[in-house]
Amino acid sequence: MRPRGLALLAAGVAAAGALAACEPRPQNQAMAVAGGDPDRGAALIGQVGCGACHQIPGVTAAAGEVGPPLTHIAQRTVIAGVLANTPDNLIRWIQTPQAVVPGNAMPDMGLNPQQARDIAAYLGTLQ
Amino acid sequence: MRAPRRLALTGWGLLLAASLAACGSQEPTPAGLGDPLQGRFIAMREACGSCHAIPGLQQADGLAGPPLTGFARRARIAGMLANTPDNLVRWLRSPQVVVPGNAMPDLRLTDKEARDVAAYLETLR
Repeated sequence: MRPRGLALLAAGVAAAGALAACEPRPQNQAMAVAGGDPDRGAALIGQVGCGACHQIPGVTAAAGEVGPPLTHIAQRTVIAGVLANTPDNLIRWIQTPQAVVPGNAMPDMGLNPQQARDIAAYLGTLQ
Repeated sequence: MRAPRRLALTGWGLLLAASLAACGSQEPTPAGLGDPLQGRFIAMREACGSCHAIPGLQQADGLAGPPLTGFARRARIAGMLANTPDNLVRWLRSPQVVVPGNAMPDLRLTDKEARDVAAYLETLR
């Protein structure tokens, strides 16, 4: 039962990812994140040190080479290879990456929901 | 009489093997990787660029997976594996085994094909 459930879940996630991949966001369109403040998000990204692992346009010294570059992240269709890139999913990933993909290299940074929303709002501006 | 001579021969043999191994480690392409030109061809054939931005590859501007810009310097593959040649080949051959349910499909590459693609990715600096 459990293995079948896991397989179904995996198939569902793959299907969602594939569907998301089929519908690219229109070129050069920002992703609006309701209730998030991009300026606060940019400041938080600097404080938390996201740039130690990621290249992030517009953030000083964010030139990390562990995770993928976040260039054009607002236009990307899939997050972490497993979630459709919607505002809610992006917030979920930023706040609890270890719950989304257990054991992956991105640590839970102890962000509260508003902080994750603000960071998502900034990433949503990276077209 | 015989034993010392055999020991000396063994010693020379080890020395020779060690120096050969040292020569091997100076090769520009990491051991175990394939032909980067062939890998580039396979990357085009498999349309890797429909999901990944890949600098220098025609029409490789996909937005599903991460950009592969500077991939050779990337520390991690798929957030799960250290970016070593063997791990890269493993990921290219069976991404669904490494991270079940992720968006990257198993492309049924042979070991040789995966090694060629890995060699190509290692040229992206």
